[in-house]
Amino acid sequence: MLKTVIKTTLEYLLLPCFQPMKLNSETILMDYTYLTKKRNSLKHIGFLAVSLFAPVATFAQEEGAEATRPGFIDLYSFEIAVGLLILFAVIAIFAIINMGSRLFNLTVEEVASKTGEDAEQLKDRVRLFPAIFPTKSKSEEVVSSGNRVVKLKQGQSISIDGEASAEIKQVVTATHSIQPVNFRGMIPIPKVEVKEGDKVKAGDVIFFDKKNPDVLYTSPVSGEFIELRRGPKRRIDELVILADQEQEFKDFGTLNVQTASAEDIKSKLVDSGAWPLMLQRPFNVVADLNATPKNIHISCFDSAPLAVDTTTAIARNTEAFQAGISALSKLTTGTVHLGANQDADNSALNGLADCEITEFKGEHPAGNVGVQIHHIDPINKGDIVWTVDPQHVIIIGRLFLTGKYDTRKLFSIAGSSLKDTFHVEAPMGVNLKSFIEGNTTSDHVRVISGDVLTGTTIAADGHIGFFHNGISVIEEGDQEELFGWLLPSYPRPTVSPTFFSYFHSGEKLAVNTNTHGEERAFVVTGRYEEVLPMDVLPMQLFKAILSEDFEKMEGLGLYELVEEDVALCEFVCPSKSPIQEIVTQGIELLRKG
Amino acid sequence: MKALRDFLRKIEPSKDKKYAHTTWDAFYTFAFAPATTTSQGAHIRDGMDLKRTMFHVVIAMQLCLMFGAWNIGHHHYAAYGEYVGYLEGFLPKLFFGLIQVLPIIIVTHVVGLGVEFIFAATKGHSVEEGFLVSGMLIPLICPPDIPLWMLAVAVAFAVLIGKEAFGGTGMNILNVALLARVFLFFAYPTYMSGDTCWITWDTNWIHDLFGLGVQGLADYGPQNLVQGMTGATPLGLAATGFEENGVMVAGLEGVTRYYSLEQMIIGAIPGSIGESSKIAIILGAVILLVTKIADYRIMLSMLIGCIGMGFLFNLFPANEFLELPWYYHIFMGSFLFAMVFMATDPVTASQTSTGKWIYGLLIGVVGMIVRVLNPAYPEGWMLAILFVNVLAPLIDHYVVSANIQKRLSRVK
Repeated sequence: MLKTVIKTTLEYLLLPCFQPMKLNSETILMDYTYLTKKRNSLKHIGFLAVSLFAPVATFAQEEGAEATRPGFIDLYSFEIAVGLLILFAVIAIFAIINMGSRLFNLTVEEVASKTGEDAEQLKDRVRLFPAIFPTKSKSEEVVSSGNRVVKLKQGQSISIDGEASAEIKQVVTATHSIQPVNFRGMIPIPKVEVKEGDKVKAGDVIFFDKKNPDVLYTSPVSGEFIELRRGPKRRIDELVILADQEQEFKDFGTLNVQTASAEDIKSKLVDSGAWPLMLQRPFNVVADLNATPKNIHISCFDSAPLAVDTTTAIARNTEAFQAGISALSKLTTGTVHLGANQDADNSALNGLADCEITEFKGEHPAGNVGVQIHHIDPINKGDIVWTVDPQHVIIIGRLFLTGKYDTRKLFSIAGSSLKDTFHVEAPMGVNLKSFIEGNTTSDHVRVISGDVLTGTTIAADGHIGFFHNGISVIEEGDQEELFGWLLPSYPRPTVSPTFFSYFHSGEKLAVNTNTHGEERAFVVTGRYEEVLPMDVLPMQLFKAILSEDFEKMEGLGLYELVEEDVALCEFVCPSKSPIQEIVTQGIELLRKG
Repeated sequence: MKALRDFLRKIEPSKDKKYAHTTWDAFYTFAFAPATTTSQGAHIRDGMDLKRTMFHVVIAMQLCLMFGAWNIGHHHYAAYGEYVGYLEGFLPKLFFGLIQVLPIIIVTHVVGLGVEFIFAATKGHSVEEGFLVSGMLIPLICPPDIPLWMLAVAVAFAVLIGKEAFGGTGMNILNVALLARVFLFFAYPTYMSGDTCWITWDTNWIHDLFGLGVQGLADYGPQNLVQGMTGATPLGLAATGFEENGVMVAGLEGVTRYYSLEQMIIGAIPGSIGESSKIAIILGAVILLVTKIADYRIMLSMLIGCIGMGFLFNLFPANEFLELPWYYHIFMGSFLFAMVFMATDPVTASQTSTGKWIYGLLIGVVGMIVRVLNPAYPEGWMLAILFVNVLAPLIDHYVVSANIQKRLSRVK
């Protein structure tokens, strides 16, 4: 609206100035009658100049009259006035030239569209002035798909060197693991159904939570159960399976999701072990078997740094993706919502049935499902919403199409400390040791399961977590830096304009794990709000959690948040506060209290 | 670098000596950004930390300090009729001022940081950077002639009662620098107001050592001014004015008789050390805004509040001070300094974005009321900011309640 008003005004004021221009191309025919009609409006520019200048002149005059002790302004008021006038004239001429150039371009585009010539070539041929601020062509701004578009102002995408290339490699043979600690609220020692040395098929039950025995956790691959790794206090950390060369699947039978009932779908998901793929908000716990969610949300893009290429993953499995969505749509009374990236190629998503697509435009965390829920249909107290990773939707879809619990998905192998980066297709919980060994640029690296903002540190031969879609490898930053807080010796990702690297925000940087400062009390305000595109007051929420104020925690929207949504807050925090840990603490308090 | 680090590591006191170790740690982390790595949560962190944030505020104040030093020298010489032109005797003026200012800065830091170090060691945490800014702000808002013992008492009071009693950096309710200033004002009112305290009349022994200043004229004093020279500030002239032929001249005429607007903008007028030059302050504001360290909301709304009240006073001019054109209020006294460096202190300001707009506006309004409608004291920003500091948690409380209410009203 405002844009249109400004544009019309400028056009009205400035277009007459171009009448005398001698156009050196016959293809351009300017409407001279139109211009003659508007010629008189040229005087408005003069009026504009006078009205802008008048206060300055009056001010200077008053000064001269009132001050008995002559000062600079009193003595030189005339010279100052003339100087300002000249300055204004220069600015005005510059603006006119620039506007002229822009309007000229628009005309050229119009002509080109009529004659069918290439607009860029035509522009080069007939250009009068160098383009100073090139106008964006209109077609870029138009949204073609007709989906609802949400534009997010807050957020910050972090460019890190070593994004995964499009190449997709296959795993020959590896160990896989399933880790009870990946599921929030799981008891430390779940009931394990297999013994070391047992042969298992993909889909055979491995363990279950004694408090919630109906949800089964099954093997992602077929092979031999080789190890049960325990942590402190005999807690079960990992259940490791050595995969067979030839995968065998337990047959759960195919099911037509279009005609099947919700009960059938549910029981198949539970039996196969695909149920824990669905997470429940608030709190990001495994979905409750007896609950019916308000909506089910799927974020079809990952905006986190070095994230997996979800678009490709979906494009490779459109049929299974559609089957998964249809199955999920039976489980909710509401809608299955898909969040798409407006800037990306969404051809794989167009034409999907049983769902609604909302397009998001903005920087990270625009791809976080929590942020998307907040803008599509926010979680209120008492609401239950499920979220599913798009790759997990594919696994669910496959289950109904083939009857197999086939957990193959795409993982990104990325990070600034890797020589070679790529994608890997493998069943879940895979050990990617063979791809990392010998591929790192130094020995002193941190291997992270998940992305660098929310992932967990694993050993170089560790297994990927249940909900993670990749591995990031970055340098350990345990180096002291002389005056590093004042004069940084290497560029680092930042949201602060005090660093030079802020002004090259597109540049891909090598990163390390240094905290770049010590932990302090909350001092600076307003930083979190800039990277959290939700209507919550982050700092007040974090303080409410620290003071265990349940009423405020609920009221300020802890139901809508999980750790990954505040990961950027933690990244930007100048006081280096452990924000994600605080949110975990708050979620645990609310869940138990 | 390695040699320095090895040397510092070698002299590291044992952790049992907590006072020594805290002090050593503060200096060590000043020299070297620590090697700590992330252990949970986000694995990478922004390069920005509290040291860098605070230091950029200090950088933004340096121009004010340098100008203030020159200004002290200028007024010392000009009061006795020497080097009356701005650029005459530039270096003597600058060094005279620096010699006057440096003891003030040193005393502030020694006392303030001393208290901080002791508290940090006693409580067993590292020294936080909050005082870096306070330690620079306090000298800038003091009169140039302030006795150092008064300064020491004020700084100790502000840091102890204003900050450490509430839990240290990030926990204080009142702006520490302003608390020091308000302590000085109410504890030693005869030194801190009036016409004589804003100009350095006497030289001290360091000046004498370097032969700076007007020598041998110590007994001249304020009573022996050259013709047309006054120590009165524009605000004093506007509020109470001066007597001429049995008539009191105040308001616009009172100000412009001695100072032109241009003089006030450049800042060659008597006043506190750092707050006279509006150009230096505006440049500081630009640094703070471009680096996103200070919040533009507070500055803008405070400016709006001040201008709005100025207009309102102009509409109902009951006396000469109320008649003073509104734009004079921006450039007179310490409004800009308070707006740029004092009100934007993130700890004592409102912490919510909406709250910041209200907070700034309130300061602008209250400050103008104190400045113009108060018969006793012709400057309002110090008291206004402290007053609204106290209100800031209340403002935040209502903003938070509104957010909670909004979320509740979604359920229908």
